Amino acid sequence: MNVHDRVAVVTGGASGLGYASAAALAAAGARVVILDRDAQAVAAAARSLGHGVLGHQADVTQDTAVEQLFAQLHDTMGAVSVLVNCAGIAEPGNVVRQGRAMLLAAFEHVVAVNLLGTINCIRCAVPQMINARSDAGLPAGTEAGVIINTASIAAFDGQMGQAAYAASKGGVAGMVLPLARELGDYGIRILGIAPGVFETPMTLDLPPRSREVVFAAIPPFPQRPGQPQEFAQLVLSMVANPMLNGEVVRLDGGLRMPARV
Amino acid sequence: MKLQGSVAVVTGAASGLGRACVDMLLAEGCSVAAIDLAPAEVEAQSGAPRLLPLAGDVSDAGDMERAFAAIARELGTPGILINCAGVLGPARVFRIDKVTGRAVPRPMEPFRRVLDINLVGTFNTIRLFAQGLAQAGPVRDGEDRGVIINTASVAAYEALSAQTAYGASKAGVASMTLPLARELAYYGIRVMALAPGTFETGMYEVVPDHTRRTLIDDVPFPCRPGRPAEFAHMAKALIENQMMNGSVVRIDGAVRMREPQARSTESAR
Repeated sequence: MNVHDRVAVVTGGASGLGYASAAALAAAGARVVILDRDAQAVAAAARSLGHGVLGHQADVTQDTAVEQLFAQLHDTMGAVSVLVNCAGIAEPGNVVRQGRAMLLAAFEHVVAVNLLGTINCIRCAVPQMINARSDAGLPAGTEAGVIINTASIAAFDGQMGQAAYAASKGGVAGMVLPLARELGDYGIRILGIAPGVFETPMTLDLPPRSREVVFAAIPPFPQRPGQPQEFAQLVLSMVANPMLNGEVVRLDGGLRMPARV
Repeated sequence: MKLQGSVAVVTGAASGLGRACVDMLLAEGCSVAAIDLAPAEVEAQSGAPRLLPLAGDVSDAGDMERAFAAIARELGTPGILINCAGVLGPARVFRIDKVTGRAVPRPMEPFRRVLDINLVGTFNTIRLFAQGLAQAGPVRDGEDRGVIINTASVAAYEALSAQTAYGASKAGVASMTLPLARELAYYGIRVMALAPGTFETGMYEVVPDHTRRTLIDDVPFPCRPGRPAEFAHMAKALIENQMMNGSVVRIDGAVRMREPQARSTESAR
């Protein structure tokens, strides 16, 4: 898909992978909207991105609010063609720590943001993609939209303390193929990116011990953490290549996480 | 890794995916060594200045040693290797003897040939390519010095009946991606594999019509065979993105292969 003049929504767009993806899409000529839960941060990020990028406060876990926001975006900008789901959190925690079970709410919160938040935005974006194609009278086989989800290599090799995060990302990875199958007839492609260790606020702001564990994992090559621009580069490659669909692509320098450091 | 000014080697370069990669690399400003059994055609079709067509069998150690020596001499040390040389087979396990009605084993030769070309042939160029780059010693500046892209297949995961040899050979290609990436990281060489679904290549043209229709009907989107240029587009993305290493990427329109017969049974229900 050529993104020029297309509406692209990036969740978690105020920082890290989302911010870099928004910058790359905007530079490629897309009309970009970034969503983030922090109103001030999202406004500042939109300003610094330039290119007419718009910022909206949004909590991806809120069904109605997200629905309303997508409807509003449709009215003001037209149908969404590209959705990049980057909103996500990492809250490490052992299942049992000092004899006490993890609070179920802690697990649920991670799943709510990373997994349900992703599907929440997908369900709001997909009808716009379908309707826009049929309103334009475009034939079957025409591309209507591209959706890129952020999984993680924790979906495949989660470390100790990552039960919630790995479960949520495993869910994100797992729904890529069934979604591609369901939405293929409507010309919508679904892809996932499973980043390894990247330097983003999410990883840099982890508690010191967790941060140490995460950044101690050095990929075979390059022997450094990934940069958000490299994630964004893959986002653009995926959007541009029509044959890529239903696949979760590892972007990790060959890293396989050990159980612990 | 930058494409402009790099030396690239492509096997299976005369047609299909390999040919599309040669075109992409030339367009991006690479010098390209195009290896195939019949490379003269590449020369006739492309006629670009930085193209070095080479004849050789990828499964033959001597052939590839000579080819890589010629590449080093004519173009310099290659930094990009795209292995596309491959054959489909077929290699069935047994046949029913028409006279006796008894099952008899098929010969070993077709099976071995598929493994030789697809798997051993892939490793053959990798060892010589890596040897060239390893002369410079361990990587020091953190920049990649080389990229290897191997052609696996969705058949590495869901090969169809009569694709035993093909599926096994491609699974081998897929499985060696990670250990090669781990080993060659020391020299700054990244190793990736692409696993294409059904693409418009010579290999696809030999598939019987009814099988071909089923294969394509099964592709969620886009519901058509892939174009070799789309394979080359992804190869370029892998070369340019330094964080891509040690993994296999499916490029298949989300297809998961299933037996054509299984589908007709289903619709008959």
